[in-house]
Amino acid sequence: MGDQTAFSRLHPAVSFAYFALVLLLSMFLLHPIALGVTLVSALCCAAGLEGPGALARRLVWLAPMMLLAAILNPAFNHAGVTVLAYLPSGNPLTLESVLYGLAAAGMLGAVVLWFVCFSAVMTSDKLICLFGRLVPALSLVITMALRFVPRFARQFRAVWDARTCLGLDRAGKGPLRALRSAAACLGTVLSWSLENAVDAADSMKSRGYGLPGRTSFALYRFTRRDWRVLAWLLTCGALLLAGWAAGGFRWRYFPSVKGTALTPLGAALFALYLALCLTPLALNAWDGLRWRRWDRGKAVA
Amino acid sequence: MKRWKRPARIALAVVLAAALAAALWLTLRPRQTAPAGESACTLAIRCDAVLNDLDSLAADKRELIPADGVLLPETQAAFADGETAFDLLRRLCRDQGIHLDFSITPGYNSAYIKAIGNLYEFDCGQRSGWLYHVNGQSPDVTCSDYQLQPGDKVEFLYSCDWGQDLD
Repeated sequence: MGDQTAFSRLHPAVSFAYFALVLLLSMFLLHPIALGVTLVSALCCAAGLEGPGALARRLVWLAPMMLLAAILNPAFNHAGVTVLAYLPSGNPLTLESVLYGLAAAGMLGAVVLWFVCFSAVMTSDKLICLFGRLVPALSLVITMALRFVPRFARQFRAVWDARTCLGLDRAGKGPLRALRSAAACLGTVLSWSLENAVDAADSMKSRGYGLPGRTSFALYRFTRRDWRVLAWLLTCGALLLAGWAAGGFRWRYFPSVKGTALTPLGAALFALYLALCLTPLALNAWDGLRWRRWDRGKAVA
Repeated sequence: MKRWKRPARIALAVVLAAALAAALWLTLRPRQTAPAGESACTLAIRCDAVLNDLDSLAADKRELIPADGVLLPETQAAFADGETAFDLLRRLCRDQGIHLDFSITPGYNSAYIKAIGNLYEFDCGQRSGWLYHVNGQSPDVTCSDYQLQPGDKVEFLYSCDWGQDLD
C-alpha cells in the first residue's frame, strides 16, 4: 500500500526532509498541544499509509508501552510542588510527575508511529538512492542488515522444517532436546548467513559497487511537485523553528506546571504544526480529488 | 511452523515482567518508621547559601527560595530511641507538607537527600546539594546512620560549593 499514495511517490529527498522535520519537532516539543497535534496526526498518517488494520495491530503493542511509560515516570521521579499522595517508599507522588509521564508517553507513541510511517514510505531503495553516493558502504550495510532480519527468520524456519521432515525435531522429547535442536538450527543458519554475506560482498564488488564515477539506477526525478512540497516544508520548518526560538512552544513541567497563555500568534503556530504533520494526508487527498475530477471530466466528454 | 516461537515469547515475557516487578518493588516497598517517643531535639532546613549565589541558580527554581532562605525554622521534635536524623527529616517534612525526594541504596540502607522543597542537587551549580549538620558539625556518617541524641540540633543545609560555604 505504501508505494501507491501520492506522498510515497515524492522524491526520496522530500519525504526524508518531511520525516526529519516532523521527528525533530515531535521529540523536542513537549508542549501539551504540540504533543496532541503530533500524536493525532501520527495516528492519522499511519492509518492512511499502512491501513487501519495494521495500525490497530501496532497499537496492541504500543498502547501498553505508552501506559508503562506513563506509570513508570511518577514511580521514579518525585519532583513537583503538588503532592498528591505518598508512595509506600515515602517519596511523594506529585501531580507534575504524573503529567510529565503522560507527556513522555505521548511523545514516545508519536515518535514510534512516525517511524512506522517512515519505514512504510522510505523503502530501502529510496534510502540507497539518497545516501548511496554519499556513504556507499554504510548505506549498503544498513539496507542489508535491515533485509537480513526477516531473511534470517525465514531461513531458520526452513531449516527447522527440514529437520522436522528428517525426524530430528523435538516432538515428544524433553525441553533439553528442544534446546539442542534449536541450537543445531541456529548453528546451521549462522554459517549460512556468513556464507551469504561473503557471497553478497563478492557480488557487489565484482559489479563495481561504490567505484568513483559509477551512477546508480533510480526512478526518482525531482518534479515540479517535489519543488512545491519542498518549498512548503522549508517554509513551515523555518516558521516553526523561529516560533520555537521565540518561545511559542514554551512549557514547564517542574517544579510547577506553567505555560504561556495562548495568543492568536501561538494558536497560528500550532495550526501550522498541524498542517505540516498532515502534509502526507493532504497530498493524498488532493491526488484523489484530481483523479476523480479527471474521471468525471472524461465521463462528461 | 511456529511451534518454537511460542515458548521463547512466553519466557521473554515472564523474564521482563519479573524484572519490572523487582524494580517496582525495590523502589516502592514500604519502609518502617519508628513512632515518636521520649527524647527531644530540633530540626531546621535552610538554603540561605543559595542567596549568595543566585546567578548560578536554575531560573525555574528561583521562586522556590524564601527571602530569608529558611524552609523550616528551628523546630522542636520528639524522637524515639534508635531514630536517625533521616527519620526525623522525613517525619517533619511530611507533617509540615514540605516536599522531600530521597533515594535509598539497598544493601547499605543509606539515604541520600536529592531534594527538599523541590530544590534539587545541582540546581545551583555542579557543586550544589543537601548536607546536614548536627550541633554545628558535619557528622562522619550518612543521615540515615546518625542516631539522634537528646538535645541534638539538626540542620539540613543546601550548599553551593561542596559544603565549604556553610562554615
